[in-house]
Amino acid sequence: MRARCLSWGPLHDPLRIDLSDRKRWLTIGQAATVTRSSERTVWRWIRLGKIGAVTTAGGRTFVDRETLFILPAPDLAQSDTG
Amino acid sequence: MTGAALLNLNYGVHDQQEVALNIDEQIFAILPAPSRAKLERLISERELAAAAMHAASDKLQDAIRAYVLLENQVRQQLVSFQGVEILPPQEVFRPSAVRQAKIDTETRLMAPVRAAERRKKAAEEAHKRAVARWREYDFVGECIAWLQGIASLGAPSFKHFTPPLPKVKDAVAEVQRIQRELESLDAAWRAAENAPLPPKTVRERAIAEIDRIAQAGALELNPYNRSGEPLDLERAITQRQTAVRVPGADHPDLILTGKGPGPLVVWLLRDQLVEKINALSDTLPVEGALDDDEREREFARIAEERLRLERLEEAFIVAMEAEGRFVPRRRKADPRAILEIAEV
Repeated sequence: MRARCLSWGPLHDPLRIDLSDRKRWLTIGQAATVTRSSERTVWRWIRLGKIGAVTTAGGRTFVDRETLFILPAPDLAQSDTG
Repeated sequence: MTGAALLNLNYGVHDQQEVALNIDEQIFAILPAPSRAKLERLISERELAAAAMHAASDKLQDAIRAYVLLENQVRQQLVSFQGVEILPPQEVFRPSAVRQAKIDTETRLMAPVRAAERRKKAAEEAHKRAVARWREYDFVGECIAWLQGIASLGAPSFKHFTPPLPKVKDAVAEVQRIQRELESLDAAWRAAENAPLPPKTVRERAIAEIDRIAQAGALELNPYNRSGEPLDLERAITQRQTAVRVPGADHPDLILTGKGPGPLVVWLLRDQLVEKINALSDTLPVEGALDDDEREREFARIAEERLRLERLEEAFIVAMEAEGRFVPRRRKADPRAILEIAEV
């Protein structure tokens, strides 16, 4: 896994991040939807270090769902597969 | 069921803690005035529903208690000595007459118990209806949880926004149609989320992965080397344990240094690996495949359409409320639609 952590807390050991865990690592669009906000707002939270996110070597950013607040619609972005 | 068991029934699906909303007053500050007023009204309506539910719960408890006490009392009467039944002389020697007299007595004594049972059942139904009515305000709790979450991360600026309401013949049917569309959007969302990558993309990424490792394992001949080992192969393929002491730690940690032989093997077998990858990628599923950009575009499309529909649904519900018709909101309704807000 080659990812650069934009911001992380004790949960985010860069060596242990598994972006294949699609329930935990969300794209910016998914994060915006599950938090009922906009992509612009999600980017702002990342810049401010309010939520955990990593950027891959390919330049894609993923948000750690565990650092988002409790969601009003938890089933919307849940996958059946891991 | 025994009286004691009945009295111990837990009808408290709505204890005080669950009913009370824990509201941080600061969250109101992030809302525009009309949205704030609407949320305050909805909270107030929810509290009224909660009060009605508590009243129904109290009535139910009273009805259960009255029923159980009365039933116990009558059953004791029935099993105790009933006294002497005086029958007309012509019926004294007819056993059926005696039996009938006993049944009549039981029916007479049990009549108030049956009435209490009917009152208990009516109270149960009323309680169920009150709980259901209160549950219809679950979305208020969700809105508040969302506002608190947004506020904790740094809320964006919101403006008040309501969509223009199209003219329709039947608003209820329109809301139902919107809800069906929302369900199909949820299905589309899950499909996009679980869609595989196109085989071409998987192949390109796999080959890039091989090339990156192969590059790390590539051997170089050093024409200026004077040690007699122009490849420096041993250093390239050997891993060693090195002791590293982290400042402040009691003991040094052993860490592995060196790449090991893996990258060299990948460099040697690069073309064979690529050939294998090409063969493997031909077996990957292609149906519904989306690359990352397509997936993000699909997410954005669904999210936008979903919010548009939810705003419309809320606008119809509000319009019907103005006409005195109550249509319950979905618990999972988007708080932005209910609160009539849009990010600035």
